[in-house]
Amino acid sequence: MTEHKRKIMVVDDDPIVGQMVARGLDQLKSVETTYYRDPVRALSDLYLLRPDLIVLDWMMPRMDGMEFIEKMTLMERRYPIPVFMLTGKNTGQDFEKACEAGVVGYLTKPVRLGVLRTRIYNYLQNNSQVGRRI
Amino acid sequence: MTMDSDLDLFVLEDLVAAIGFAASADFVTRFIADCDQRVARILAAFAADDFESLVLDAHTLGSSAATYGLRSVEVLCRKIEHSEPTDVIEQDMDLLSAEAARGCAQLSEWLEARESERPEREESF
Repeated sequence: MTEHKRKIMVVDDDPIVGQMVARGLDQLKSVETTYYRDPVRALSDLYLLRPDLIVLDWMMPRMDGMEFIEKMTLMERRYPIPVFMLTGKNTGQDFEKACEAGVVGYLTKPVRLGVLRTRIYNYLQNNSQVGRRI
Repeated sequence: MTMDSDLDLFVLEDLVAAIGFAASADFVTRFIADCDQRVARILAAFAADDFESLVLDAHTLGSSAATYGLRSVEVLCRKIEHSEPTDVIEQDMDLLSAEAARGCAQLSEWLEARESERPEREESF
């Protein structure tokens, strides 16, 4: 039987952080990651990639994380894709705003890869429907 | 570390534990190579009174500096990021340039020291 791989899209304008995150998450069993530096390109590839989860930076040029979520929600009304926000923004107000936008996880930079990996692993384990919508 | 270092070694060792030394060294080396350009972009934005670019570049450098253990660079970048445009002064730019150079030198030293401790047969990530 073919093993079902969960697809994770990593979006961060800083490739030295974004690629590191993607590499760290790739070590999870049954996960494959795709990194995007440009949020606009990531959004346009949503239907192509059909990710099961998105790890998203907040402050990015061209389109910030909040705008990304807003546009994605309009595109994916029936099957909203869960988002883990990974950001340098660390005030209570930032966190509240992200929660209101519907993120399922919020982690602040500096990135702790071990923590991020555990949080995402647990999320995928506890939400078995994620990645089984096709 | 021989010089007076404020590198966050916990962050660096956490990275090594997560993806191995070879991959960590690759990302740290890339960060060091890129840091100069990032600082140059911040200085250029300051010189051009382009506060929007200044804030975005300072935010990006602050986050990646924190990710690779450069706390003092992160603190300076956060200060710039959260300042009013008129509060960012030439002295902040000088300090950022100096701290970034010092931090990158410390990172290079850490890499060298860590490399020499690495078992010869450690497999690449």
